[in-house]
Amino acid sequence: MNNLIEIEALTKKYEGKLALDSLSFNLSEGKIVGLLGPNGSGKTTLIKILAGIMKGYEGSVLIEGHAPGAYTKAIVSYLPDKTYLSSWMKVRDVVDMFSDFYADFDKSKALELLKRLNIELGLNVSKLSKGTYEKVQLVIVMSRRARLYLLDEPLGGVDPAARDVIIDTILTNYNEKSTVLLSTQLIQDVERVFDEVIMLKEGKIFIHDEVDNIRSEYGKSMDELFREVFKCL
Amino acid sequence: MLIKLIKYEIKACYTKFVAIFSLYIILAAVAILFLRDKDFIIQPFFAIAIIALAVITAMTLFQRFNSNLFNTEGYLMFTLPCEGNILLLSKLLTGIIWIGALLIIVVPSALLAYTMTGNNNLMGLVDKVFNHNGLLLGLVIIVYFIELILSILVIFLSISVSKLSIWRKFGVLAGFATYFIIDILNGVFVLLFTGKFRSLGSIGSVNSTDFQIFTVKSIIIQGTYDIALCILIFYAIAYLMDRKISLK
Repeated sequence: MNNLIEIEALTKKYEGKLALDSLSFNLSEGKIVGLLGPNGSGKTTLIKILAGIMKGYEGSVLIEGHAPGAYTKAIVSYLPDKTYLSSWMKVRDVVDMFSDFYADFDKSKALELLKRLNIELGLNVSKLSKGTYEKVQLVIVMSRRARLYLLDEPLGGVDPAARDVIIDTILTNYNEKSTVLLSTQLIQDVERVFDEVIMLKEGKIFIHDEVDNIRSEYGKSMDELFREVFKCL
Repeated sequence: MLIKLIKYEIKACYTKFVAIFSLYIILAAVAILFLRDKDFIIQPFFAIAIIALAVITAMTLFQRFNSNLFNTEGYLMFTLPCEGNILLLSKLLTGIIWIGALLIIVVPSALLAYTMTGNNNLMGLVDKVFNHNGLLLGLVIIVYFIELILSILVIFLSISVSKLSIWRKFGVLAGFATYFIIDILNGVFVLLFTGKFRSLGSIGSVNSTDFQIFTVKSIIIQGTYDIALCILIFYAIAYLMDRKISLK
């Protein structure tokens, strides 16, 4: 399988602190990869660099052979860990905007998903509940036929029922040619979908392997292993 | 891509601008219809209303630039598949569109108010000032337009500089410092190379003989300098957006 992401000696200092410390790894296409680690371990920094919104790093970052920029933004679908839609927008405007800017956006799929989730197009995004807002963001992000999906804490702050909907949306909408890099601390809810896991500890890779290998090597689930490794932090 | 960005930029602000422009038109119409013979009210009214409108327009544009690019909305804007210069150009052109709309509304109403209060020789004043020189008048208008763009870019640059992570908690201070440094350098250039050209800003109060020193040559020097500075600042902002600024 081809490498979709190639990272070599990636180091990022942020406000005087070493956020990422000489990270090197590759990710091939067609995988759902869990990016795990405690707060401050560098998960969001890594995702922001891949999304092209964090600069000033050392080392090499390539997505489909290109450094983060206009080209990679056309093939990367990014869900940040915050609400990022303009407050003037209605759900319909969000769909139209993605349809206008991204050639890989499937508008009919987005409309179908929104209908299935009972989200009205005429609602203003600033009036949505947190859970509904996150569903809208996830729907538009997953309605792209992107090569790489970067999902930063997509399960954070939503109720368990909504989490199932979100996981289901991810699973049913990503395609076999693309890769999903999903950061979360709610490992138990989502570990069943991971093919690979990258565990970060203080800006370094602590574990990077296929989930089956990790389970057989450590004899634990990802959640149990995470709790054991990071219990003192 | 640029047209699409401008479309969404206009959609984001048009409600606010339509509301404030409509309010101005209504108030101006009321003033012109009912207070036309009260000079002591109508002149301060238009002065205050026009300044307020200009300030609100400018604040809206700069606030929009800041919040749309560098707050949480930046996560959407900076992940669109386009370069920083296209994003910046969309902001600049939208700003020019709104300022153009402001001028279309303000200039006729101000001229009407000016002539209504007994100053009915406006063209005579303009002729006197520019010594019947249409070329000079045309160049001054063009240079003022370029300076308007330059003013917007300087503030965009100051906002962008303030977002650099190297400043840590002193970003706002760095932004203000950038603005004042550029303003001072600009002032030095004007003093050295173009004489009193900038005093044209007080057109109504200047004696016509002062304008004899404003030659076509000095205005062309000023215009060329302004264009060069606009290009330099534009690419400096685009560079910061593409290579240096990281969203928090």
